Amino acid sequence: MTAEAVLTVPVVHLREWWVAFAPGIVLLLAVITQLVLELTLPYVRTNRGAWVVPLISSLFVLWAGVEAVKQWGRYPTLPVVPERGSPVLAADNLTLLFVLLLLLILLMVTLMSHVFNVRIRLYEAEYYPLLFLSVFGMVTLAYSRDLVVTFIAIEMLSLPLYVLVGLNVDYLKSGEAALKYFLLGAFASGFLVMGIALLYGTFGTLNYQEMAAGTMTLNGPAFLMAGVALVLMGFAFKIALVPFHVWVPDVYQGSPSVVTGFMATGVKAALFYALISLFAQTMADYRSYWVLPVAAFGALTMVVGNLMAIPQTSLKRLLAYSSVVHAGYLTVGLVVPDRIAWGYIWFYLVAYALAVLGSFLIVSYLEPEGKGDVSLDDIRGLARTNPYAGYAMTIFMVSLAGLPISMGFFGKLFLFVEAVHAGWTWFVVLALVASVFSVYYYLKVIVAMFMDVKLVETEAYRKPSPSRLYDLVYLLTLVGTLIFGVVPGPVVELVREAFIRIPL
Amino acid sequence: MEAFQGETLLNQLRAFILSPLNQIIFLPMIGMLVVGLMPWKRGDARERRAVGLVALIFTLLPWIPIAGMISPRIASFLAQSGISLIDYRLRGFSAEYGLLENPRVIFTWIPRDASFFISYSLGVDGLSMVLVVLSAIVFTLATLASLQLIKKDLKRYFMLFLILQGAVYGVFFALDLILLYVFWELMLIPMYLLITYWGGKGARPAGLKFFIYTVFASIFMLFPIIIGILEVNLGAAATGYQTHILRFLNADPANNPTILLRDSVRLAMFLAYLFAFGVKIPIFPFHTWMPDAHTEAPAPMSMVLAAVLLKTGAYGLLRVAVPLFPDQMDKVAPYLGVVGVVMIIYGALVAFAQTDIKRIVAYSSLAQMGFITLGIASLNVVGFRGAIYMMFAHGIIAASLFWLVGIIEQRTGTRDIHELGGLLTKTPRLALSLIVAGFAAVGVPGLIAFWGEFPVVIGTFGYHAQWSDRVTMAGLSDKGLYILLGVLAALGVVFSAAYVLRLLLGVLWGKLTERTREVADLSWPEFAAFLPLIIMTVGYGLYPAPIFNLFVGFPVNTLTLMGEIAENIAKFGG
Repeated sequence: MTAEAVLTVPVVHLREWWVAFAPGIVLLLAVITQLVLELTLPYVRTNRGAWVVPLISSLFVLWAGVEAVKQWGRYPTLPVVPERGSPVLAADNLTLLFVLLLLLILLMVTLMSHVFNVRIRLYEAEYYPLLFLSVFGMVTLAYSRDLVVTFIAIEMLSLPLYVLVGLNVDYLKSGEAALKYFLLGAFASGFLVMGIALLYGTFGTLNYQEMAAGTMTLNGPAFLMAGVALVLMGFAFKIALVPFHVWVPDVYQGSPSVVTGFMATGVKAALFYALISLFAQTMADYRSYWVLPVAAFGALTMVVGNLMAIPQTSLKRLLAYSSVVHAGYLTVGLVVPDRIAWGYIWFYLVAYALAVLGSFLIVSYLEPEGKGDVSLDDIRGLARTNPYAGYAMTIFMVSLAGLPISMGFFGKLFLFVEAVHAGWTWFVVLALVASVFSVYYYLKVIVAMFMDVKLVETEAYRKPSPSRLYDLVYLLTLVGTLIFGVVPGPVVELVREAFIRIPL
Repeated sequence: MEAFQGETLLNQLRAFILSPLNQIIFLPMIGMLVVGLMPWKRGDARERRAVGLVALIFTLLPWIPIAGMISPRIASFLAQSGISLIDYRLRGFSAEYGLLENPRVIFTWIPRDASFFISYSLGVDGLSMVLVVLSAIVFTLATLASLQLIKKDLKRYFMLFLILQGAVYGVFFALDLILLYVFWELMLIPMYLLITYWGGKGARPAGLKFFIYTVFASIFMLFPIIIGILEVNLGAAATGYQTHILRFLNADPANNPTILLRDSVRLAMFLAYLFAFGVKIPIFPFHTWMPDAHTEAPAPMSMVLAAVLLKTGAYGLLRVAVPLFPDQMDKVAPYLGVVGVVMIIYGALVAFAQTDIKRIVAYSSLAQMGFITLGIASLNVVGFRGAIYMMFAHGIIAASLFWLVGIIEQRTGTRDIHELGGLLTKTPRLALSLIVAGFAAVGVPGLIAFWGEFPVVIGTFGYHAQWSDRVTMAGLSDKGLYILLGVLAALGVVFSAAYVLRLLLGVLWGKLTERTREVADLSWPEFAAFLPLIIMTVGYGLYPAPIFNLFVGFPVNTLTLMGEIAENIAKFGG
C-alpha cells in the first residue's frame, strides 16, 4: 500500500469513531461538560462548590474505563475495514492496559486535585479541562498507529501541560518552570518532526503497519539512523532520559505538586507505550539501529540520575531525580525483544504510578502556605505528628526503592529477569547496583520522617486527612502498592492474558 | 511438589490458616495490628502496661504451635483438648529427617503462566527448629527486657518489634528463595528504625551503617536467584516451582540445574551468596557495622540483633549456600576457616582493649560467631553439630550479657568500665547472673557454650578431604592447615577468658565508685524474668542432649546430600 492510498481514505463515520476510539471520545465529552459546568454555574468555582467538577469528571473517567474494558480482546481499528487503508488508530490488549493505567492516573489526580486546588486557588475554569485534554492526548498517543497522529498526540498532551505547570501564579518558580518546559519542549518537538521526516524518507510511509511490513527502500541506513536518533531524542526529552533531563528538577519543583505527580506518571506511561509501539513493535526488524542507543541512554540515566538525587534536600527535586532514574530502569524492559517484557514495563509503571502519586499526594498537602515546595526539613518528625502520612510515605519510598513487600520489588524483579534472559546481563547488573545506591536517598526521606525532631509545624501536620476524596486516593495507592506487592499473581496473569493473541 | 493445586480456594485458605508454620509467622504480625489499634494518648503507666501486655501475649502465642511441633505429646494433648485450631499434620517437622521427606504447605505465589513460577512454601527441619526455638526464647525475654528498659514511645516500639519477629520466623521457615529474600528484607527496616530511634547517642550513623551494609549485601542474594530462575526455565525440568529450595537441594541433574552450570558461574553464584549471608554473620572484613550497631541499639534490640539476627546469616549459609555448591565450598572452606579463626582471635583481642562494656560484649559476639564460621568451614558432621549448637548457645549468652549490660547502663548511667566497680556485694543477684553468663562466654565446661566450641575444635582437627569420610569421621585429619586452625581456635578460648575476666573484675570487683554507690539490685521479679537464661545456661551445659536431638539429622543429611551433589557435578558439570 502506498502513501497515496492512505491519503484517499474515505470519510469515517461517527459510529466507526465511537467503536474504535470510545475512551478518547468520552474524555472529550468530559472536557465539554466541565467547560459548560464551569461557565454556567458560578457555584462550582467557589471554595464550597469546588468538589462538584472533580466528582462529575471522575464519573466520566470511569465511563471511559468501561469503554476501554469493552474493547478488550476485540482489537478495534480505524478505519474499521482493512480494505479502506492501514489503521491510523488501533488498540491491542497492551494498548488497553496502558489506557487503563492512564485513566487510573487521571482518576487519582482528579480526586486529589480538589483540596489542593482550593488552597492555591486553582479552581478557576481552566484546570480540569486542561488536565483532561492532556490525558486525551495521551490516550490518542496510545491508540496511534501513524507517525502523524503520534506527533499530534504528543503535542496534544504537552500543550495543556505547559499551562498546567505555570498555574500556580503565586509561586514565582511556577512561571519559570512553565517557560523552561515550554521552550525546551518546543525544541524537542522540533527534533521529533525532523526525525519523523527522515523516517518518512526511509520507509516511504508514516503508517506503523506499513513500516513494519515494507522494506527500507528509499534511502540508505544512514538516513534511518539519523531519523531514529532524532525521534529518540524527542522522546528522551519527554520521558526525561539523561542528558535530556535538565529541565526535570526545575519543572517538577515549580509545578503545583498535583500537576507534578501527574506529569511524573502520566507522561512517562504514555510515552513509554509510544516507544514500545514505535520501536519495539513496529521497528522490530531494525533493532540494531535503536537498541544500543536506548540502552546507552538508559545506562547513563541510571548513573547520573542517582548521583544527582543523592545530595538533594528538596523533596520535590528528590522525587524528580527519582523519576529520571526510573525512566532508566524502564529502558531495561524496552531493549528486551520479548513482548512479555513490555507487559512488565506496564506492571512496573503501575507500581511506579501508585507510589509516585501517593508521595505527591502527601507532598501536596504538606506544602507550607505560600510555598510551592517541601524540603526534607519540612517533613522532619512527620511520622510522629501525622502517622498516616508518615507510614504511607515510608511504604511508597520502599516501593520506589524496590524493596520487598511492595509492588516496586516485583516490578524490578520481572523486568530484570526478562532482561537477563535476553542476554542483557551488564545492563541488569548496572541497574541492580543503581538500585542499591538509590536506597540511600529514599532512606533519607524515611529517616527525616522518623528520626528527626520537627522544626516547623504546619496545619497539615496535625490533620490526618483534609477530605474524603483524599482518603480514597490514599487508600487506592497504599492498598495497591501493598496488595500487589504481596500477591502480584493476578496482575501478572492479566499481563499474560493480554498476549494470548496479538495481531499486527 | 504442588500440594494444594486444584483444591478449592476455601480449602487452601483453611490449610493456610491451620498450618502451625503460618501461625508462628503471622501471629506476631497480627499482634502488630492489634497494638497499632490500641489507644496511645499520653503514654502514661496504664497505657504502657496495656500495650506491653498485648505485645507480650502476641510474643508468647507462637509458643503453642512451636511446642506442638517439638513434642508429639503436646500436639496430641492440644488435639484432644478440643483445640483444633492447629493442624499438626501440616507441621512437617521431624528431628531425624531433613526437609525432603516432610509434608509441606505450598501455595502458588506467581502463576506458572508468567515467565517464572514462584511458590509460597514453608518447611522446617532441625536447623530451622533450633533457631526458631532460640528466636522464641529471645523474643520473649527481649519483650520483658523492653518493658523494663524502654521508656520512649512504647507503642510504636512494639509494633516494629512484632513485625521483626514475624519476619525472622519467616526467614527460618521460607522454602522458596524469593520468599526468603522477601522476609530477609522485611527484617531490615524495622530493625533499622528500632536501632536509630530508640538507641543511644550515636545510633543514627550506626543504624545507617547497619542498613547500608545489609541492603547492599542482600542485593547480591538476588543475583544467584535470577540465574537459578533462568536455568530452571531453560533446563529439562518444566514443572515445579523454579525458586523452590528443594529443587536445588537435589542431586538429580535433571532437576537441579545448577549442577550443569559452568564452574566459573557456580563460583560467582556461591561467592554472591557467601557475601550476602556473610555480612549478616558478620564474617571478618565485613564486620564493622556490627560493634557499632550492637553498642548503639537499645539493650533489648542488642539482644535480638546478637542472638537472632546474626544467626540468620549462618542459617542462610547452611541452608542455601553451602549445600548448593559443595564443590565451591570445598575450595573456599580453608579460607573461610582462616577467617573464622581470625574472628575468634581478633574479636577477643579487640574486646580486651575496649573500655565500653557494651562494646566488649559486642566484640565477644564476633569471637563466638568465629567459632560458628569455623564449624561450617570444617565441613564434617561434628563441626556442623558444633556450629549449630554454638548458634543456640551464643544466642542465650549474648541475650544474657546484653540484657545485663543494659540494666547496668540504665542504673549507673555509664558503660565505661573505669567508672564501674564493686557491684559484687552491692548487687549480688545481678553479679551472679553476670558471672554465669560471662563464664559461659568463655566456654567453661559445664556451661552452654562448651558444647558448641568443643565439637567445633574437634571437627576442625578431624577435617577430611573425602565426602564419605566427612559423614563418618573416620580417622584423623591429614591437613596441616586445619590442625593449625584447631590449635589456634582452642587458644582463642584463652583469649576470651582474658576479656571476660576483665569485664567481671572491672564491673563486679574493686571499690564502689560514685556511679555504683546507689545502684539497686535486680528485684526478685526481675531476677525471676532473668532466671530462665541462667537455668538454660547451666542446664544445657550439663545436659545438652535436648538441643542436639532437635537437629540430630541435619548435619548427616546435608553432608550426604552434598557428597552426592559433588559427585554429580564431577560427572555432569560443565
